[in-house]
Amino acid sequence: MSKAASRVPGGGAAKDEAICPVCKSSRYLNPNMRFLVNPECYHKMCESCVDRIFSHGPAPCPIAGCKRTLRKAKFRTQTFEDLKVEREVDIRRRVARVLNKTEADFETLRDYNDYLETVEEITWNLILKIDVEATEKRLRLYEEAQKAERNITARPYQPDPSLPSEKAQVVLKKGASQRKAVATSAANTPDSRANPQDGEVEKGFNFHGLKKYVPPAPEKPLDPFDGWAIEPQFYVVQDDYDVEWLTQTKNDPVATAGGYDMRDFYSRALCDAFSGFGVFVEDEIEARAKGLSGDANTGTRSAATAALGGKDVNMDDVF
Amino acid sequence: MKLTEDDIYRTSTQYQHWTFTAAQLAAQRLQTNIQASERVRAAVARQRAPRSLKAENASASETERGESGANTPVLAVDREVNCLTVGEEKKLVDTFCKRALDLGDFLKLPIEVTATGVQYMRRFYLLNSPMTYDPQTISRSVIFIASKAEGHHLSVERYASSLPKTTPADILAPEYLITQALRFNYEVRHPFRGLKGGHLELMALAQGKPALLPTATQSAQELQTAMLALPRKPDGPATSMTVAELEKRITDAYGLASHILKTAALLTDAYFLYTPSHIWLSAHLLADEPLTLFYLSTKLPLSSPMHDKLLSTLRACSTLLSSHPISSHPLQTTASAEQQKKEKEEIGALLKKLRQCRDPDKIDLVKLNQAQKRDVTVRVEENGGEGLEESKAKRRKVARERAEREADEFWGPSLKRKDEEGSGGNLEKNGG
Amino acid sequence: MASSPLVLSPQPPPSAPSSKFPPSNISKAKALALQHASTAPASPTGTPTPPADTDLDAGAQMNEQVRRQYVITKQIGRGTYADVFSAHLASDPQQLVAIKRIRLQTGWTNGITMDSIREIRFLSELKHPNIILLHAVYSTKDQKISLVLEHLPLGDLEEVWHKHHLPYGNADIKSWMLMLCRAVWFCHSHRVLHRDIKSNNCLIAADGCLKLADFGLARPFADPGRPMTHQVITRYYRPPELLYMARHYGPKVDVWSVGMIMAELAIRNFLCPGETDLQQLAMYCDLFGTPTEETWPGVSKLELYMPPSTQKGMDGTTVATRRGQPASFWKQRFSLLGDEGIELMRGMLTMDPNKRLSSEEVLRHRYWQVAPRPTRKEDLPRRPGSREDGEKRLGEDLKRVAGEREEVEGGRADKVARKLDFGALRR
Repeated sequence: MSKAASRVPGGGAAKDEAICPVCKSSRYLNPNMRFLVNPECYHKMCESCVDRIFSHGPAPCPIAGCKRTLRKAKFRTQTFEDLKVEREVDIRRRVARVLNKTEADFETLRDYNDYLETVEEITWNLILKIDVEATEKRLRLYEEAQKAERNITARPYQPDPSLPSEKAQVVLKKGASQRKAVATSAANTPDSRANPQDGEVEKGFNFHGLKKYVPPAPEKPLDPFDGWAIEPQFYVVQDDYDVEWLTQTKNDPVATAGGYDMRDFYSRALCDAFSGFGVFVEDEIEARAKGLSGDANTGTRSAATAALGGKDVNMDDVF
Repeated sequence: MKLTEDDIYRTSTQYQHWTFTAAQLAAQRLQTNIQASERVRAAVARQRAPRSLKAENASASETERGESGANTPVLAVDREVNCLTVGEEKKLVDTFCKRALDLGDFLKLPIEVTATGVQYMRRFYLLNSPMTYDPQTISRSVIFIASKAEGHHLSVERYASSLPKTTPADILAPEYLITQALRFNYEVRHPFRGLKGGHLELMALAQGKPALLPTATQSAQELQTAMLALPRKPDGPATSMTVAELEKRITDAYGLASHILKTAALLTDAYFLYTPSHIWLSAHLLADEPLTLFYLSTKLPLSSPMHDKLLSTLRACSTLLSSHPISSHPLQTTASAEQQKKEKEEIGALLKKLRQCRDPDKIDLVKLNQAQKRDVTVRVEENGGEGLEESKAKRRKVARERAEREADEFWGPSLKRKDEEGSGGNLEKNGG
Repeated sequence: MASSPLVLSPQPPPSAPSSKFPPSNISKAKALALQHASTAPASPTGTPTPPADTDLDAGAQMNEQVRRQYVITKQIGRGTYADVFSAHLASDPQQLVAIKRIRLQTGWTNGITMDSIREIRFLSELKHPNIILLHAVYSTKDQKISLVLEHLPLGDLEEVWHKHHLPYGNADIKSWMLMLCRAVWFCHSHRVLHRDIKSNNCLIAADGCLKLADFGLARPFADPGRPMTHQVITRYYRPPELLYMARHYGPKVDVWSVGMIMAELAIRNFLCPGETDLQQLAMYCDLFGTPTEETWPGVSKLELYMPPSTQKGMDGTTVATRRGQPASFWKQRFSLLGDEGIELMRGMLTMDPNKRLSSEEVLRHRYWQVAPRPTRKEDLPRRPGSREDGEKRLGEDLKRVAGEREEVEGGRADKVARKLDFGALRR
């Protein structure tokens, strides 16, 4: 992708892109050169610079004026030629992960549209770097709240590293263990000053018309039969019956070797014997005919004619 | 979904589409009879009208003839067609069911094949009248369809050659008629295997080693003792049999019941009115009442409300079964000669009457069938005739090719041919 | 009589109605005549029969009624045995069905084919969520039988492992297998042998549900002593007893086929693609060991059984009794299934049908209970393309009730604010 993007002839940009701003080597000399960006600051540099500078651990961005700490693992090729777009997409992706409601989650269409508007507002705040800190906090709080509600373990929300925040600056100077501690405390302690609005203090957001979350019922133990069962009422099958007319088959080695099992026959014969034992045609068919036509007079008409109404070829008819 | 053996029967097409109350059955037959008579009269009138008109006034114009032909009121036909009554129709169908049964015996077909065929026949004549479709032809076709449905392969040539004056076309012509009337319900649930199941249980009871229901109140031992003392006849004195004697009695009862199932049960309306379970129990009741009642008592306590209901159903069913001449003298295979003769005369008269009131449109089923097939290839259909699209496409292609050929002769061959047909779409797995 | 243009009149009435008497008059006159003729209480005055079909007999009328309920939209498949069409209910275009039209077989002169009769017979009786639903059957005017079946747009199980490079895991295999095993258990509990279970007879519905299809070779369990044909089940899935030409067999034949499908899903290939019946047997012997009287009592009585000394191995050399592959082979090749899965699969792929698991025992196996839990059918991997609009939409359409759909089409999409979805964008 980056190759394709860098090959685009585009006036001055093309010239810039051909030269690494760090080592100044150009694509002319090294046609295989790849550029990478880090979503911390979106400064572009070539792959060999990344290898050289960041292979031994986090280091500050070599671009003049940018003092952000970058890690090699975060470098990637850019998807969009325009880094602004690249950043916007990243932000949108992050926001969408937290604010992931769908239309079905809302009572009304209007509520859903209000929600979408809020999401868009939040997104643009981040993109345009307006109220970044407060917004990030709200998102973080919201994610926490959602997580607590659903009791799931998801990836914690990560604040946009490309945006200035005093904590990030502080963290930079501390050791790894301290950094972790700060990060967790920041994530866990809700800041009561951040949002004076009602209801948003703890949850970050409060969307109107959101349906109450119903936690999925705990999964029942799996029923391999899916609730189906054949439960005979009037007979119990035995393993063997001593009847003269069956002895020949029973003792036929060819039949047994092929897998013919007399027990299958026994259970079938007994099932047939009582299949319909408790079905009384006069009662049941009468009831069925009445239910079918609704009209007492036509109730006596044959079921076949009644079926012309299409009852039994109905799509919804399961049985 | 928990299914009991009863639910399994309730899901069957036999129960859903082919089980009726007696009143429904009678109403259906009446309706079929009325419609068929109607059609016969109309068809006969249509055939007679031009003839009589011609005789009266040979110079009648085309229009007039058309009018009177189409508009002849049924009641105005000079000689009223004497149509069969519902009872006569049923008698005829019963007769040909019996013949189908004999045919099955003659060809040594397994009983399920014949029995299924006979039921197809009875189902067919619920919606159709013997006046419309000849029962002889239908009876031969149903056996053939049944042999396919029951997986007993029979080649149509061999089958037709074993019948007098029958060609394969005669057998196949009404196939679609029958299969439509059956609503494509090929499954017939017979009571034969059920009877075997009951027999297995009775033998186990007699041998003192039955598997008892959890609700059973008596032990196997007690049951065996009670069974050995069962009276021979209802309300007869108690007996004391040996186990071997009891087993013989059970086997005899089985034989008798089996005979009833293979004859009377098939030749009456039992399949429409009762479940297979009730049918075999009723046959067994006829064969050995004390034994059957005893068996029922092991299944249902006498105090159960279902017991009475079941018993009255079984009694009604056994009355129906024994109403058929075959089973009224179950041991006596041949009815008295006098009776036979009377029966024969009656049937002969009916057949004669049938010949007078056949629907003239439907006499030659083979021709009818061919006409239908032919009809389809020339008829242009607006809806649902996708099958026709193919033949249309074919005709179009032929016409185009001819046009092209003619053009080629005149102009010389074209340089490049257009693609003949669009691709037929990708193959679907269902096709396999 | 000739009131409807749709009516198939075997021979046109000698006197066609003139323009003075439009068709409707005739049918009215006829209806009147009918009323006169039938004074019985059961006369159909209350429910008038459709006037158009008076010329057809009752069976044909019902057939017409069924036929008119469906509108065919396009052909989606063409095979030697049947053509498949996509169709919908005339009353509701959202309700899709598939119509399988049985082709007339060249060389078959015995009328309606046994396959179609069998398929209709068993599908009408077996109604289960994992068995393809037969909505209706009708015959067309050119006397072809059409089966109106559930619309299953997502291909079959063979495509899942074969055609597309779909990633899937043990939980997915478990889910598919469980649905298949339920279907087979249901057939067997209704005493029906399927006799043609293979992965391309396992179709997948829009919601991911697996449905067992193609009952053209099905039959009921045989009664004692009645022989059956051994020429059933596609060779790759045919159990050894059928290859030995056993004529008395039972539901275990289907279980073997199910085991084969499980193996296939695990290795993404046919386990035993034999080119001849003998080669198929040789492959079984290689994998599972040559059956002997000790391992399979009575096997030597089967028609085609050959004692090991005369048997040829796959390389053509005469071999002594093969012992089959060791446990390590199975463990290594089928590691995807886990230990319980391998145990179940080998239980289904046991040479001796009497020792093979029954379909009920299969469902009671602990494989289903151990982790991972089977994937929910909605979350199963689907063939590529289906994730995108077309088929996915179709799936949602099927789930939706009719009323709701109308609303969507009534321009509701305009009312939803545009939502940009970048989540789907890959890095």
